[in-house]
Amino acid sequence: MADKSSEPSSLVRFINGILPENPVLRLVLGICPTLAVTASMEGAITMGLAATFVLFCSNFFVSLLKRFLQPHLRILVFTIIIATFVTIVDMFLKAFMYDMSRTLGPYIPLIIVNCIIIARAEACASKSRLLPSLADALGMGLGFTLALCILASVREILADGTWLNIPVMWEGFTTWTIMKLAPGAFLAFGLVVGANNFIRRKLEERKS
Amino acid sequence: MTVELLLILLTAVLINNPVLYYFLGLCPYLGVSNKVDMAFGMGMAVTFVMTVAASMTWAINNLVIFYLSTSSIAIDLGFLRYIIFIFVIAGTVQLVEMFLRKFFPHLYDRFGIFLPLITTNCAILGCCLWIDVKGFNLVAGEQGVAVSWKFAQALLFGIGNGLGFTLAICLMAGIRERLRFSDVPRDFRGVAITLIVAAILAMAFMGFSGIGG
Amino acid sequence: MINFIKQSALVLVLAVVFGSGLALMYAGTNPLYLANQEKATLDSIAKTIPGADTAQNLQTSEVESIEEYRVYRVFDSPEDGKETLLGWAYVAKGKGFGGDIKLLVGLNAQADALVGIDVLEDVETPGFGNYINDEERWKSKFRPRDGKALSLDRNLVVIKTTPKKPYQIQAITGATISSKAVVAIINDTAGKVAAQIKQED
Repeated sequence: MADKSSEPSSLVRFINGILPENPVLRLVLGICPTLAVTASMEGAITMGLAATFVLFCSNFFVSLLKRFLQPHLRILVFTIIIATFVTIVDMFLKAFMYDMSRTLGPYIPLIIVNCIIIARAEACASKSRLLPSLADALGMGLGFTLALCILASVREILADGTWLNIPVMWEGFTTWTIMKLAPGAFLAFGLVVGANNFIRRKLEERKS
Repeated sequence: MTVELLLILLTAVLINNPVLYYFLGLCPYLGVSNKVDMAFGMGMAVTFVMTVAASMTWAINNLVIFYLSTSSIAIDLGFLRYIIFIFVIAGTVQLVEMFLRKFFPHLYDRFGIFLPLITTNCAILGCCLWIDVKGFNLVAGEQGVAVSWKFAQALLFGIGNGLGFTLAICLMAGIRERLRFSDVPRDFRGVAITLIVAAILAMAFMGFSGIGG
Repeated sequence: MINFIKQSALVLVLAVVFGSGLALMYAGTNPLYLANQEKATLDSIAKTIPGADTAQNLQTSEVESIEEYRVYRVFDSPEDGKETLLGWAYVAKGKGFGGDIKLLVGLNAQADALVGIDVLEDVETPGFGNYINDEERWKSKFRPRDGKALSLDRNLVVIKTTPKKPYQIQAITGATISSKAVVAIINDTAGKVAAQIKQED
């Protein structure tokens, strides 16, 4: 177990996840759903919250069970926990948000193999106490949701001229259908990652 | 019938390519696409695991879960589906790892790092999940020839997805080998430029749509 | 050895706890999921069959003797009056431009004419092919024109100009393949299903 004094506090962990170590933009983890569900804001928000819920629950259980975990069974236990909560999310969506569950389809069960969740269980929850792990889960989850929303905003506004189904562009705006399709997803994500690098570099240059 | 099977294979490789159409398996796609020979090795390993996993999950889903829910006992174990899928995949990867270590140590040394990665490759779980979307699962009342016919479809879908992944990752590795000598803006080096190249590749692949029609 | 037992016990306990939790949740949510699915089908039928949206008590029953397709008998059974047959609807599948297209096809009460279609699932190109989902651009073309429903006696034909004959359907601009795919699915199935329905009655 890590030395307590060197362990970052819960608040630092929470903030870290949102921007400085944003899982999608900085660490480039969990990008499959990032590209697949960001054609519209609604899908992005639902996916972000679903992943945050799973991350929160898995960090909770992993942190509670960390004393019993042994190297060779660790990943197995992580997987059981994650798959269970993903199944719960899937059932919830099918029962209460039927249309959304049809839009997201198999991308919901694919949260099981979302690298962010297993990476946080391994790197944080299995080594830290309960509270920091939960703060970490919330921070990373919100960071993930934020990244999805940024990407979805770009894509929805350009592809449909709407944001959360509210028209935002001027009358007669030519919609960019390509942004809704696979090439648009890759392009928008590439540009957002590049822009993020640019902003960070400028900020660091100003600091020094 | 042969034509239909061929179409399933072609569709999975070219039109609904797992990487460039469904955004699956992007982590290894960005991570292991630096060199063509590494990319090809990864692609082959994924193809193998995918074929085994697709056929095994199909068998469990249809011959056990579905059979139990429609038989006279009527036990519906559908809620365990995702957990079973991920364990089948993890088990297959373990098997492949042990097999390679015992019989092909040379290959094992080269694949070594990729193998554990394959478990969390979403392309494989995705392939197992899309079998349902594509309608390769049995529906109530199907028996006899229909069972083996649907199994053949699911199997070919698995192979096609693996080959599609291999094709996409090898193409990307080929481009990235040359990209190293080009002058990319500083902030776009690495992931960003790879994603933009992927966008152009995906656009090229869109040209294959309609082959099945 | 003790360690081994401890470890296995942990995994077993976890599996049992989570498994039973999931089973409980499944028992609670699955009926809702099935109800959602049925409601989606009913909504789609109400959009497809004329008169279904104004029916007092819309009912459907699956015709179980037809195995190849899922065929629904659509009728109105108000509490006070007697049943009126509104039409028939069936689910048909075929290849489109981007992948499989799943249609709900509506036939009139006599099962000799087409009264409407609805797209249940498609992966056509947004902005082009997926206009097959659009009422004005596409689905309205299969509704009765001037009170006359599209007869099943003749196969429908896709053309690129303004139609002059009743059996001609104008393609969606820029999506001829998707348009042709939908019409091909209808041509392939409607006659067969109608014949089976008539045999049933």
